[in-house]
Amino acid sequence: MTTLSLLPVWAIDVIGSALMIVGSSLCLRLSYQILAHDQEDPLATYLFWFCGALFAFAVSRAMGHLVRHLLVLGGHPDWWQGLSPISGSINTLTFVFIAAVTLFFQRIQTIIDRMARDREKIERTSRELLDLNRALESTVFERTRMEMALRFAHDIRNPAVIIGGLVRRMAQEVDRMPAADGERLAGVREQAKRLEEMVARFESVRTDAPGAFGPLDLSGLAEECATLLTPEAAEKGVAITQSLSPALLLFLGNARLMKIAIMHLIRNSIEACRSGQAIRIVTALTERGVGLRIEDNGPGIPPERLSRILTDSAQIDRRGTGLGLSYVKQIIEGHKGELTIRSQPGAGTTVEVTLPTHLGVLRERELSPPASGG
Amino acid sequence: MDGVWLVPLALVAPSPVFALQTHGGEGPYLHQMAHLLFLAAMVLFAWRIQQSRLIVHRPWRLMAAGAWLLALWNLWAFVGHFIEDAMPATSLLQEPGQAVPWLALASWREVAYFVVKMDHLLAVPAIFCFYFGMRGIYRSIRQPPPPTGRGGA
Repeated sequence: MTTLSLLPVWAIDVIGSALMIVGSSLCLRLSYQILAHDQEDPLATYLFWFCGALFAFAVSRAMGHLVRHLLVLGGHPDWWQGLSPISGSINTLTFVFIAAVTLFFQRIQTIIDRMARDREKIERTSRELLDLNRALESTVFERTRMEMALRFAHDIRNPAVIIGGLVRRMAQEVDRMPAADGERLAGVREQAKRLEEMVARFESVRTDAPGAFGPLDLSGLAEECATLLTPEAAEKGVAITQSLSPALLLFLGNARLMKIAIMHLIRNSIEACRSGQAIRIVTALTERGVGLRIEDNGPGIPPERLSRILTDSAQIDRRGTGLGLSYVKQIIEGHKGELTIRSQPGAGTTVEVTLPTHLGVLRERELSPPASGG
Repeated sequence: MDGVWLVPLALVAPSPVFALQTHGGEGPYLHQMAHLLFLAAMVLFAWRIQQSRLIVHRPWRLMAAGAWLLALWNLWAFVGHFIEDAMPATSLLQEPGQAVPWLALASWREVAYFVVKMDHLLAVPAIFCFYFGMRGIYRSIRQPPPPTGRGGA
């Protein structure tokens, strides 16, 4: 009969057991170092538990095998007989332990995936915010530049024109003046002309505005935004109607920022409304400037939320449409406009945007204050 | 003191206490069930890594490989225990003073026994797959993060 020495099996068993102890120890050490790097990382915590369970399994099994070989080779097989059930039981327990730890991986994975999605969303929103802030700063800068130039031109236009006119009349009688006076008059006339040219240059700032900042039609913007969002509203069963002023409602602004603001306001209404409810968009020339009104017959906003809706970064709707009404308010105020919100629970919400027709403050006529918001 | 009258009753009519369960031969069954549980856990672990976004990173592919190997090891050990039980004690030959026994290859059982006893050929690679995976994860957190996704932990 063929016989085979079990020496290779024993050798592999002994070497393998030693390698299991070494390998699992190294894993445990690495997991500890990963956890020490970031103790709040759930994946690092999980890996530490996993490697701990792996270590318990590997060491208990390896030690059992090594002890058995030692005792048998040392002539004490009966000792192993007594120890074997204990060793086997510990080994079995480690199987259950490592299985239990591993089964938590799905939960950890869900948490990590959600953290990654939230992080991406935060990064995306931060980039959008940075972009918007830059555009707002640029708008404010351009507006301020125009205001200063136009105010300067306005203040010196009349004196410059008067001086120029008087000097030109005096120039008609230059033949009756001494030559020296005539020369002085020519010098004054030249400076008067330069003053008039300077006024003209300052006034041309209005037409020299860079592409992003210029005259806009509020009705056109409202119509464009409403048209873009009508399919989204229709999907939800919400109707959008428009009542736009036939006259041009011109104001100076940044088209991109204003579109973002108007779309955000309309989208808020869409998200607040349920199927069967409606949104009405109205533009008109008001006593204070050009006006946009977005009315809906949705559920309304509770008073406690309304009071802080324009100051919080939080959304009306938990799902969020991007940046928050506080940023919309910033955009409107960057255009020297006003944003007010009136709402009553169960009675819908009305959002009003008023913008100056020219660069300057809204006419200061007293109006009855809004019921809430703004 | 309410049950004190039960004591004489117990002394008068002692009988086997059937409420206490004695434990006999469930050890092997428990051990084998634990192998199956371990196997299922490793398969699930490997499959979940492969379904997640972690699989794009090499360290996690190594972790999944380690899990698959450990699952295979469990199956190997599970079968090995049955073969060990089925093998007659007379198959192991050991002369007095001989340190290492010899195996009499009387049937396929002895050959299978010889093979399945070398289960470390699966377990050790599994452990080292985990080690190299963990090492990759550790190295990735010490480097600047890549522009897309996480490089490891």
